[in-house]
Amino acid sequence: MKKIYLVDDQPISNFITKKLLELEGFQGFVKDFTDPTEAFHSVAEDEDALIFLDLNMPVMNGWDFLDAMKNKNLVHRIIILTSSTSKIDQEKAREYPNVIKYMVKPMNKKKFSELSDYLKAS
Amino acid sequence: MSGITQNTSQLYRITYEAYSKFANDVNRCADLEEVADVCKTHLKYLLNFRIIRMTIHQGDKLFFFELFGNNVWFDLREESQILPYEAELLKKGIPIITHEIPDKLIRDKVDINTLYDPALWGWCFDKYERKVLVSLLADQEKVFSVGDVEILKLVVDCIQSKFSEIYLKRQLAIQNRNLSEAYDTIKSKNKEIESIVENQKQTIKERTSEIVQKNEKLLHVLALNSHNIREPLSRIQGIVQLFGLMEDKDCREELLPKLETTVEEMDDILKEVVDMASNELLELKATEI
Repeated sequence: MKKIYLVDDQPISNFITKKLLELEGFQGFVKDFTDPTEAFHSVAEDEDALIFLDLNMPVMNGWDFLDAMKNKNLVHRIIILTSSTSKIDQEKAREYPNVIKYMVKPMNKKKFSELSDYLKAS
Repeated sequence: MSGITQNTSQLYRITYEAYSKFANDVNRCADLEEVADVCKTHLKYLLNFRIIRMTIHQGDKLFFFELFGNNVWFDLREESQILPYEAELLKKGIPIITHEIPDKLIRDKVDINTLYDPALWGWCFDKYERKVLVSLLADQEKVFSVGDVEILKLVVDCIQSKFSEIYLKRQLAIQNRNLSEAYDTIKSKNKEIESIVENQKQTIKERTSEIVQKNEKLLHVLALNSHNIREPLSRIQGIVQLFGLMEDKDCREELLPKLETTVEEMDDILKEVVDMASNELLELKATEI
């Protein structure tokens, strides 16, 4: 089973996602980061992980994170998990082939079940 | 030579030639000074007189023209006054002939003592609604007779026509000047208006771009604020829906403190938003929120 990384500067957001993963029955490896820079170092060492990525973060935002991945040719699959409902953000997300889904918070059980395929594959 | 006054046809011819010379010369005149010169030269061949005075009505104005000896006097500015016998003449229109010579008429012109049995003739000629009062002072040395009235009429008519022409030319020149002054005024006002319009355009352009900038700024602030508010709200929603999925004890211990923290954060953000908006409003000099 592959790894799941949670990158969100808000620890409570990470907590919610983790709980939902738990409730969904996911029993694999989950690691959460509130510092995107630190998270990037970790995922750079890894291969083919699933990353839940927030967009609005200080120092290194979600876009910086995606650009840095592109530069390093990292091919993890990204699920953007953001409170931004902005169309501009949604359009921009399409420019990154790594991004497999754009999800607007709040996460709930129903939305999470849409991810079950990705979770199984992980 | 002695027979010349007896030869009527010859006399008429001479008179006719004198008149046509006079009329031709008057016709060529450009102003009243020239008319006066022509009168000085030619009139003595046409008429015997000591003084000829013409009071001409032009519109609602009165103008005066006098010939005496070798002198000419005229008043185009209505500074002189109509004489009492002239007023009578104007009112009644009946020609007069009198031996009572008003002092005002001859003063400084002719010495009454040098005159022999002077007579004053007066007419009110009315041609094409234009009245002209003609006074003629003659004496036994410069005899005027009823037979001379026709030639006097012609002379008066000729001078009056010239006078009208000069007067109208002058009026036209005044009006032209007024018009060109008006034109200049309009032109300069137009320029003023153009520059005002140009200024207004510039001001509108500046104001518009200012408003566009402010609008952009406000939209930007709105987007940022909405996003900042939505973030903790989405966490609250996330936590709330976990309540239905977790054990009561876990909820109380794990979720409630997180809910409280997030709610406080959201409250802080809202306060910030209100502060920011108030400051923007103060900057826009709005007095009320």
